[in-house]
Amino acid sequence: MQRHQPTRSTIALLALALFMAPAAAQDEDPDIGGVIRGGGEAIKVGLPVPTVAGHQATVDEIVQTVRDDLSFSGWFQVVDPSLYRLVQSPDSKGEPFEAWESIGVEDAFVRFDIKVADNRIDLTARLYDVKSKSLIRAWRYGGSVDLRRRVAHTVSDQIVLNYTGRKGVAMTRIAFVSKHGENKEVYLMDYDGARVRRLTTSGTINLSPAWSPDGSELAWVSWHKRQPGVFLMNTEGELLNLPTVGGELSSAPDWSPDGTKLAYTSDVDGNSEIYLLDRTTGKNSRLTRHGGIDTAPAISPNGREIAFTSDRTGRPHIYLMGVDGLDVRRISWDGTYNESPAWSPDGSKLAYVSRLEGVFQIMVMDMETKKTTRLTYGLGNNENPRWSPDGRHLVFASNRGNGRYAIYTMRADGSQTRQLTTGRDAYTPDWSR
Amino acid sequence: MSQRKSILVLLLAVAMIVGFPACKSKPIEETPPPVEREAPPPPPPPPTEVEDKDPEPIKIEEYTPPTIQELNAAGHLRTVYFDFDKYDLTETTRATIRQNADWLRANPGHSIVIEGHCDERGTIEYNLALGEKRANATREFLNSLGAGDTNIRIVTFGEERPADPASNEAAWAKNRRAEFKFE
Repeated sequence: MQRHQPTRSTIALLALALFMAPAAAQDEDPDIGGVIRGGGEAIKVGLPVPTVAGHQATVDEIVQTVRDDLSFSGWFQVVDPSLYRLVQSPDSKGEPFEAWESIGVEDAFVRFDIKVADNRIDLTARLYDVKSKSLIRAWRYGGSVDLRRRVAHTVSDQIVLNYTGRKGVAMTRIAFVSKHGENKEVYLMDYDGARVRRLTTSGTINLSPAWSPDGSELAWVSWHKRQPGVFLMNTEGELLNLPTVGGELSSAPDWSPDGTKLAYTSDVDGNSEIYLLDRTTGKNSRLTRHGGIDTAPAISPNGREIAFTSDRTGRPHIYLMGVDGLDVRRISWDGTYNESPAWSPDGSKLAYVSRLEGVFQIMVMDMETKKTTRLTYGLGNNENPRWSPDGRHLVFASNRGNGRYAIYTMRADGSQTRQLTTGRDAYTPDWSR
Repeated sequence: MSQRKSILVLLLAVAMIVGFPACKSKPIEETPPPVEREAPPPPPPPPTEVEDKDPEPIKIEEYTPPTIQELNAAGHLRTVYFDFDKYDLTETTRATIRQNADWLRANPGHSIVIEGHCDERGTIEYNLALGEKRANATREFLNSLGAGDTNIRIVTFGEERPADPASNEAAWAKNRRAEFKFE
């Protein structure tokens, strides 16, 4: 039978929760930076690495992680660090703002003050505004050296929040499955592909992990009871109770945005249909009634509609229905195979896959105009798109590189593709809220 | 009737003739009944020439039912195949299922699982439902033919267990299948 083992990282996460409350988040100056510049132009920032004797590798990793987070977000352009040597250290007259501006750091720079002692990090980040020549904000965080990347991500999210009014995604995680022989096991990693850790050791097939909106639980599909069923575990890999209707197939779990409902597929009534489990009452209701395949439900962010795949016309296409199962209507009309719908967090778009010239490509439909845009190209398959919580990125599985499947992210416009996993083939990613 | 009567009369007459003088000549004596003596054992038969041979055991036909592995290796139940993206049963597929039904009726008492499989050219989640459809369609047709008392369940593996891991038309055709397995 399946053994779910807690991973070191989940214990580390708990430790993080305990130690990473801001030790002292003081505003040293009035906030004047909370404005996004118009025109989508990236904010040009500098992030120099301080010299810290004996712990330079740790400090380098922390600052580089913040640089990567800010670049990834798309809001910032990190100015080439090799130019920072042209800027002298602050002296009695304060920060050399003109020097920063002269190397292209037109908007802001971050000074890190990092102390490492007794296996603990004490970090202060000060954000300076170049135009106003002033300190905008400062944050101080502590944590064990093991959690250096989480400390860095926390700073990144605060910097993004400061400029956009919305928290960044640097603290989010991606769940996925990884191939073990003919089986697959569930894994977690940070959103940037770092700190990969295994969640299941079941020795069977596991697929389609789906984060609960609060990030504390994962519903997923497993054969550990010899046929595919939807199960629930916490982020330590411990099995939790989930009263689905069962059947010889249950699959494709998807949460409502408030976490109170779980949509999934079951054949308990003799054919694959979509069911909705109300987690507060434990009651299941059947939503679809059709002899064809109905699967891959995705509950809209406003909780009122469900996108799903059905072959009721003979080919798989995307449909919408109300959460009561009424008002079913087809929304994908191009091609012969459209599947795997995923709502953007604001509900304005639906990502899905479409088979074009024999391979799967990721498409996005504008839900108001129903206009579709193709995001991926090339010879490989691109599958299972899922949105980042801020809607600015998508994570997906692709075998574009030498035929092996790996997890990739890209911006919501299809640009800036980044490969997150290497080694074992990886599939069915889902991005935590 | 008359014959049996005349025999009885004759016997009576004989008894009277034989018995009378004995009764008359000898006085009645109370004598103990003669002790029955065992007859002396007959002499042993002359020895005959016997070959000195170990006794041969009697052959008993012991029936050991075949193991699940042996049943599955024997190829009693044949795999059926499907068209691309389809789960309806072709004529070939129906003919094979008929043969499988014949075998199951002739060999009652088995439990089988019908596994539905897909080729890799679908999405993982949709293929799970497609595999379920293939297994279910196969089971329904088998049940409509009658499969004796066979206990049948289905399971879908989607594209997770290809018969041939290659990525070409020949492999895909082998992978779009429903397999019958004893369990």
